[in-house]
Amino acid sequence: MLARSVNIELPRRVAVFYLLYSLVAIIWLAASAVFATKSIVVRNTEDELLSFLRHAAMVTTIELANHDDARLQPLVERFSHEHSLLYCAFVSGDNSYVAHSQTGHLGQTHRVDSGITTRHEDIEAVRYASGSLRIREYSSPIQANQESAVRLIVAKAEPTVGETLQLAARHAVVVLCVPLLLVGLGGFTVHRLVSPMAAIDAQLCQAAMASTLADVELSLIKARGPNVLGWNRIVREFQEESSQRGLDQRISDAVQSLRQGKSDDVLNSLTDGVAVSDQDGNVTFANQAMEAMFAADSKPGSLQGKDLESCLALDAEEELGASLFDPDHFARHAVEEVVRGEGEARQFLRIARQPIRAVEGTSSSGHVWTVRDITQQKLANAMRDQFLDNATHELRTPLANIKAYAETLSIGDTLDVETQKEFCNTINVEATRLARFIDDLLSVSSMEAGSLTLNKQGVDLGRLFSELVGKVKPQMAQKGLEFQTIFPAKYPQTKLDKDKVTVALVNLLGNAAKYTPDGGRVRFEVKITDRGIRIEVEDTGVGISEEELPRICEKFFRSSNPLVQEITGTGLGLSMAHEVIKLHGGDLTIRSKLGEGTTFIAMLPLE
Amino acid sequence: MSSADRHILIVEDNSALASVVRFNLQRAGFQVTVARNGRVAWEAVQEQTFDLIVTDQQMPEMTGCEFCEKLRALDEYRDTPVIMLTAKSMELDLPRLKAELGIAATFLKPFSPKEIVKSVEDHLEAASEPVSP
Amino acid sequence: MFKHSKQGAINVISGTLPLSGDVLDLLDGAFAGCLSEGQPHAVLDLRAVPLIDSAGLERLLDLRDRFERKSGVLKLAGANPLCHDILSVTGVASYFEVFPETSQAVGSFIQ
Repeated sequence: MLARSVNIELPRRVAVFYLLYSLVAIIWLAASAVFATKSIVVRNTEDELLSFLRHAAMVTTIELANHDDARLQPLVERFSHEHSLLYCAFVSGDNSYVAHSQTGHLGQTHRVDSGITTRHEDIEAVRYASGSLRIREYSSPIQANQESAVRLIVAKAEPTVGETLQLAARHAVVVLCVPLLLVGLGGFTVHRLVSPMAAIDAQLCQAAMASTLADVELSLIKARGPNVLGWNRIVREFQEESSQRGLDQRISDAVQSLRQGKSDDVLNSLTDGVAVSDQDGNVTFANQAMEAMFAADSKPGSLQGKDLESCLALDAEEELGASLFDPDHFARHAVEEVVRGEGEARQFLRIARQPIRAVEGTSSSGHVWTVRDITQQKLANAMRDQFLDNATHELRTPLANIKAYAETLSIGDTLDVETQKEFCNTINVEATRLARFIDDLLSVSSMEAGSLTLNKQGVDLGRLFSELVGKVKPQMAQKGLEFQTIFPAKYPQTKLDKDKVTVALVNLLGNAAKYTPDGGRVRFEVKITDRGIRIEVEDTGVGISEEELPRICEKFFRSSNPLVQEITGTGLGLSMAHEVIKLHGGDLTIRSKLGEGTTFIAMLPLE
Repeated sequence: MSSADRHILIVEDNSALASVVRFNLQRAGFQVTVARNGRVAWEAVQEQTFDLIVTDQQMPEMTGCEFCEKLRALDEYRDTPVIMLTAKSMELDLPRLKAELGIAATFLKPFSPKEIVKSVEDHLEAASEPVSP
Repeated sequence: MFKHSKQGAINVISGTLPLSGDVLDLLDGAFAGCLSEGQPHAVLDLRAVPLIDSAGLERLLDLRDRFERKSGVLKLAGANPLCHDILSVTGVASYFEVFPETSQAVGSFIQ
């Protein structure tokens, strides 16, 4: 009768309560029925007894009239037996039993316990209790002939509960079973009605106990009525919303992580280092470039959480980086150029620090750092500055002479012609020197900018060399130098930049002539080898010291050898020659002994 | 004191320039000695007494400033006027040069020899004026 | 054989052998030094390199990746016409800045 389902409390509860109350009602009714039965039986019995009493009184009267007292005893016995009396007795005028169905009581005094007395005409009824019985005693006076009156006492016990139940039991089957059946049916119906509600109830209880709405799981119930349909509808809506919410959340998360990933990608693609530090100066984010620059090992994320200042490891003495880490300046933007490392690993960095601009409402703390490696820039600037420095000096020197001599000439009314001529000559020489220097300077500048390009063409080597000789011969002759030239019989076909190679070789030969004292010797030899064209320029000049030899091709370098200092020179010639040879893919070797002479060996590969 | 008694020392590695400056100074009546570089000049100042020194700054072995520093260590040259010639304008921090090395004037190349002569004359005159008590 | 020199802060590696076969291991060795620097900057001078085969091209791209992982840059310079064609036809040239002269490549590092 109690249909069982998992976790369904409600129908059981309902059914139990229903049955309980129903059963209580039935039991109550049954008890009432029993009670009613008893009352009815009692009433019937009374009526029966009363009518019997009249009849018995008549009979007794007749007997008395006929037979006197002798027939009283059998009469009571007969009466008692016929009507199932508890006892029947005749009581004489002196209240003693003259006849009693229970023969033991003969002669005893009729005594009536206290009870309730009622009168039915001339019959007196007494109800009293004796032991567990409730007894009704009826006494009826017998009218006999003028002799002492006799009373007839009959008593009957009221039926006990057990007797009543026995009486009622006949009807029990019908009386009890039908309602019980109906109640059972009713219970079943109730259960059926209630069980869908039970499912709903269970889910609601679960929802009540769930910590967040997201944990609530509602399920559909097999529809058996409009209420369940309504529930199912609500559940469907709820599920849709949940899944929608879940979907929205997922989409939002995906977009967030995509943006995050994208911005991470963006930051990691930069060649500048980017880092974020919190208010304590610890790194909360560092992009790839930052880690490449500062991380001790190459594992990604190795800067995370470290103190930024110590990671940067700037030179301790440098005060330049101070404003970056000065707590007084944390609220504002700071940019510094700092140095770190030594020697080969010396680095110039441009570090900028900005406080993080907070979104309204949130408190901001921490900074974002950008670091740029400007080493090459600094070195290039330094080279350029030095170049300009030297260039300025080299330009101003001949100019100073020109101006000085020109001015002296202009006011020189006291000058003799010889002196005048001498001065004019000096001006001329200086002007020439200046011009040549400017040419060198321009070539060198284009080399500096990386824009010196070679115009390689097919060249007649023989002609090149002979023209070259022609250019330098006067200089050789002027100093009385012995000029040796050795050339191969045949020249191969090759490509090179004729003008620049000529300039380079003029420089070499010119140097040889310049730095060789009068009467010395200069040898110019060209050899064709499998490696290329080998050009040797040997002189018996002042030579180059061991210390200066590695530096001899540096721009503007001039030996501090006083013999060299005497001779005018820009310090650019060798540098240019070296550059031209290098651009052709060749190399320049220098051998020298101080005081004895120098040999320059240029190798130009064939093309 | 007439200019004929005044002895000027020129320290300049560029011989042509040294020559023309000497020419101009001599024409103004001064005695002039030329030293090719700081080392030679140092020897010269120890052998003779000069009234004024005109020196180039950019010289090998010893720059003009270095020479001046050494010069000021000598008693007799403590107050001698020094005129500096230079080709690099960045080095002309005149107040510092004046304060530290007692350089009287600086001239940037190219300069006018006439102005050099005038400067020499002015500074010699100033140096010979008695110091006010 | 590969030679390593420095122009300022820029590493210049120049070779004379074709970029193929065992030479590629030498190439890796030549770059090992500058790849261990924080942010490596280098120019591969191809002036004397006669040719590059597919293994060489692969190795170049691999080098580039390694440079990129350290947020550095590798540039090429001085490729002869054959190498230049090889680089452009295979599309490898699109991954590098290629300069005619090493000095230009070095100069391009000044940001």
